[in-house]
Amino acid sequence: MVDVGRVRRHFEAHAGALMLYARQWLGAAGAEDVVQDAFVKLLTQSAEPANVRAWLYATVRNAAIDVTRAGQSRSAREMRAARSEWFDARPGDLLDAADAQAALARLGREHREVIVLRVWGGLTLAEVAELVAEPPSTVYSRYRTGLATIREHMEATCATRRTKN
Amino acid sequence: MRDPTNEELNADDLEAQLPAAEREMAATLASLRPASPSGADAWVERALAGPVVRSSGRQLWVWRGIAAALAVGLGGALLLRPEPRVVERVVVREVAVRETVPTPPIEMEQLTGAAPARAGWPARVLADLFGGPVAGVVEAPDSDRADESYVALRARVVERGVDVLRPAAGAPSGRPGAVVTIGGADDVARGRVGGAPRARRPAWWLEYFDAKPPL
Repeated sequence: MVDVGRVRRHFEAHAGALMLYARQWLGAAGAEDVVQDAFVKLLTQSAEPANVRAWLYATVRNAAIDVTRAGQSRSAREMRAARSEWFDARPGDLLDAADAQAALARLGREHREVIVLRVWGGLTLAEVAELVAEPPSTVYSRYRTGLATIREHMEATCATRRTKN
Repeated sequence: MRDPTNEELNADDLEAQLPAAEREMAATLASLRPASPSGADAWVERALAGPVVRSSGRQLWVWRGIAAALAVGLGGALLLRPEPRVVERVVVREVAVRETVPTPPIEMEQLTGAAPARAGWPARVLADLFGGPVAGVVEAPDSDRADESYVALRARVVERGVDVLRPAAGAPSGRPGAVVTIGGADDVARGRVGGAPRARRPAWWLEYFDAKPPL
């Protein structure tokens, strides 16, 4: 059994990003359940996985997909109701949390998944490619395209605000 | 087969090719902090309750397995049970059976009182029968009673066997009557002992009732 203290540290380090990742499929409540189940599962492992972060994201991904298959309509409804909770807004943020969330929401799920895993999950593109079972070139293409789309959306949003002001 | 090391190098090479604008966008996005779940305490509690949940889950599967096994057994029994036997025709065969006639029970009273006590008849009746006073009556042996009742005869057969129906070796043939002494020694006896065979006559009491009207 993995040490509780180590699992707690992993939780504090990765739980938020894992929540954001799970919300690509689920609402807030469902995402939280899936993330907590992943840590419970980690706690009951006989030995700590070699790459805990990649293991956690893979576990959350599989569980979220299973939950989504079990109740597709409920998950979509929860996602629409919980769109304002993806980020904790702080005064010193370089971006507006709501705008970033809106920009992410405009992306397709495949592009959004790659960006979340790479930007907030901290996985390398090779680890992302292995997790989503796609070639690295495909993952890189989605990553670059997604970032470009977000940048364009953010620039357009900023331009609109400047015009209004 | 995929080579993770080669793929990682390729991915790193690819990421190095990322335009500066997208690289800057990625760094800006990374400054945002995702919303955290409610806290670590919740999943720790769930982790502690996990074994109980898993145990109940295992028990549920055990019961499901038992129920499934019973269902399979019941289904198999229903499928493999023999078909009901249909009676197509009934054949009646008559079988000869030796019929045994039940023998009525023999009462002790019948056995002991089988022989009628003829010697106890009233003197008037005897005088009427033999035309004068009767000095005494000597009972004939049991084997000589040819005219005794069926019940008495059967009782004797049951008691002594079928040999009682055969005449004794030295016994005279014919019907030995009762020895009756009437009056003196010269009186004529109605019954005889020994002597030549003669025609069988009816029982003595039938003669009496033929001669006299019923009392």
